[in-house]
Amino acid sequence: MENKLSNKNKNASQNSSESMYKLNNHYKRMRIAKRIVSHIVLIMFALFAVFPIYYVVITSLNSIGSLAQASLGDLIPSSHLTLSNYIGIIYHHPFLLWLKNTLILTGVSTLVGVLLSITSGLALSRFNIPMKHVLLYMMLILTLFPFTMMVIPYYFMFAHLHLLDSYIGLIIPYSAGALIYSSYLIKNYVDSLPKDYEEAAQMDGLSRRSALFRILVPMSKPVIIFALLIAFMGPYTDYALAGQFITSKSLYTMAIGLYYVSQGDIVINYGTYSAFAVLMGIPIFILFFVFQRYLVSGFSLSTYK
Amino acid sequence: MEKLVLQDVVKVFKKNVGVLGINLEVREGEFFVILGPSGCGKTTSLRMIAGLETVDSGHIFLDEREITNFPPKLRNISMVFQNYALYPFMTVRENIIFPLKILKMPKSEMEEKTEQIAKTMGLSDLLDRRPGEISGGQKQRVALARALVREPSLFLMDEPLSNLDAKLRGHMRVELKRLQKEFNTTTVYVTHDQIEATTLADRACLMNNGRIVQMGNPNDLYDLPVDTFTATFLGDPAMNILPGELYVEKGNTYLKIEDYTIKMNDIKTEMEHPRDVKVGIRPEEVQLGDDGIPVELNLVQNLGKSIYEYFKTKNGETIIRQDVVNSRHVLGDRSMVSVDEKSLYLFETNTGGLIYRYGKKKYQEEYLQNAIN
Ligand SMILES: Nc1ncnc2c1ncn2[C@@H]1O[C@H](COP(=O)(O)OP(=O)(O)OP(=O)(O)O)[C@@H](O)[C@H]1O
Ligand SMILES: [Mg+2]
Repeated sequence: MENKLSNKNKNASQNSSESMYKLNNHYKRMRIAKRIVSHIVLIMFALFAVFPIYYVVITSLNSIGSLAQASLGDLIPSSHLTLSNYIGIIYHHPFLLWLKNTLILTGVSTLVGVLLSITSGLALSRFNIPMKHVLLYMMLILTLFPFTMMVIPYYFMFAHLHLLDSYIGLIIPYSAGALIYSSYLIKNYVDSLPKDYEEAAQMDGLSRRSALFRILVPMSKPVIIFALLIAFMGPYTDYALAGQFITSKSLYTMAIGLYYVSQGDIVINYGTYSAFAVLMGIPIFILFFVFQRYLVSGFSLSTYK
Repeated sequence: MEKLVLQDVVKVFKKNVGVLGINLEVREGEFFVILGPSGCGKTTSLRMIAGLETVDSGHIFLDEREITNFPPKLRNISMVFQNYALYPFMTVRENIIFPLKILKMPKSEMEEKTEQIAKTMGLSDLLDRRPGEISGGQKQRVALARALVREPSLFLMDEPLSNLDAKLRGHMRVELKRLQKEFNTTTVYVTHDQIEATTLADRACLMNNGRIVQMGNPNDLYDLPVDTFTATFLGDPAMNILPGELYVEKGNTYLKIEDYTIKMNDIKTEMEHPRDVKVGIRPEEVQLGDDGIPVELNLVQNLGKSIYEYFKTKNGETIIRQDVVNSRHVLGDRSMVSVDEKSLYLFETNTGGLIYRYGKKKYQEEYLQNAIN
């Protein structure tokens, strides 16, 4: 009797352990299946993202006259690959001048814009400004308007100020471009830093203002670098405003140059266009590559808490 | 000599009261502790001394100079924050040297002082690490080093040990006391932990609802609390408080607690009517005997080296008794809590003020005077 019972027990436990084993395996298979599905989906999205870049790069290395002559076969690298498009841009056009113009405009407006957004971000986060909430909402609403909407009013404004067709005429609106968004971003980041740090600095002998600049600014490095990149991207790629403001060839930016060189007699010269796009993209690529570490933390607001 | 003086210092926040007029005097070289429950205004008081919070009214003097409206950087006061607030982008060395750099001290002197204090604090091996790469206890010591390196006139600490584990906290208590004696810097220390107060303080004050309730040597606060708040705040477990009645019969004074009456030989009065009072007994003074307040054992809490026995009286009052030995009492046991006039405290029912403590006539005379009138 006892024996039978224990036997039965044993059976039962064996049974259950077997079914547990099956269940366990089932979950394991499920996990693998889920992983495969998610990889397929991700690879598809990645292809969508990467294909245009590949397309531009491969086109820049082909010598196709126009889109009408292009065929799917051109997408496959072959022995026809040539650097003639690049050589054409660099040797037959004042590419380096355009590059210099763009870097001056972009560099100065990025620095001005980010410096202003640091000061306004710190102020918005740390000072008691009357009607601060209203101000913040208004700022948010302002960021919703696209930059291109401002081109015509800006044109009239700067025409009156006689600042069209000059560096300064572009630097002012460019600096303002990402200013609101960056101020808001920096404000949010600084909000997440405990007040103790700047108070400790005040106890160590700094004035309130020095404490903000010497302690909070270094602590906000990730978000400031993020703001720098955003501020850089706008003017660097801008055509809408520069195309209207700039008329002298000596002040052409890369974006205007891109338009200028790819404009053939009748049709758009796609090979040149693509090569120019690649050349323009290289600095951005390098910047993002160098600062990618900060991009992630700039987004995630990970702080020292 | 008075180092730091606060005169009627008041701080009112928009919705709630921060500090309602405090007066205190801290002496040169003293370790002064501000003790009190959460939200009583300790941090606010400390921040006003530091200059991080404006003062609504009142005056603060340091070294006999009024500093009430000085910005923090001109006060020569240093402070250790609860979360240490070490600058995360600087190394330990840069953190410690930072206040000296602001003072524009010669380089060699700065470095010498930094090395010196790092040695005192046992931080010499950590100088090139960043705050993210050291432990909580080490951060604590870096924060102390940074605060002490410039030899401030006054040293403030706001619950500096609360982020440490129990063992390290015990160790740092000893360390802090040693450092304070070594540097001889006048220190104001804020805590809600009475053990820190008793172990560290030369003198302490107890705050409640934005006011200072009592000030003095920590042992005095424990022995002679001015009211039920101090009495129950200091001591763990807290003092038992029971309702009682005081009356006079044939020239003798009696205290009645529930059904039990004892004669109070130490009280001489001509009070006509019986008075309600609060009776306080420390858990470590509770004795069980053949005669006393009948109670039933309700709960036993074992803390290893001592036990707490929770008794319930007939009227539902709880009396906690602390005992060192493992007692043989079983839940539900009935016994008697004997009451000795020498270990009793009597408090006024409404205000909670102390009216009787064996051998301390002052309180009782004042109160009974009022009672007769
Ligand atoms: N910035 C502030 N704004 C409004 N009310 C405040 C502010 N700071 C403190 N208070 C209020 O003032 C009172 C005292 O606060 P305080 O921080 O001094 O208390 P505490 O004794 O340090 O408490 P804890 O032990 O919890 O740190 C509390 O009621 C608190 O809510
Ligand atoms: Mg506090």
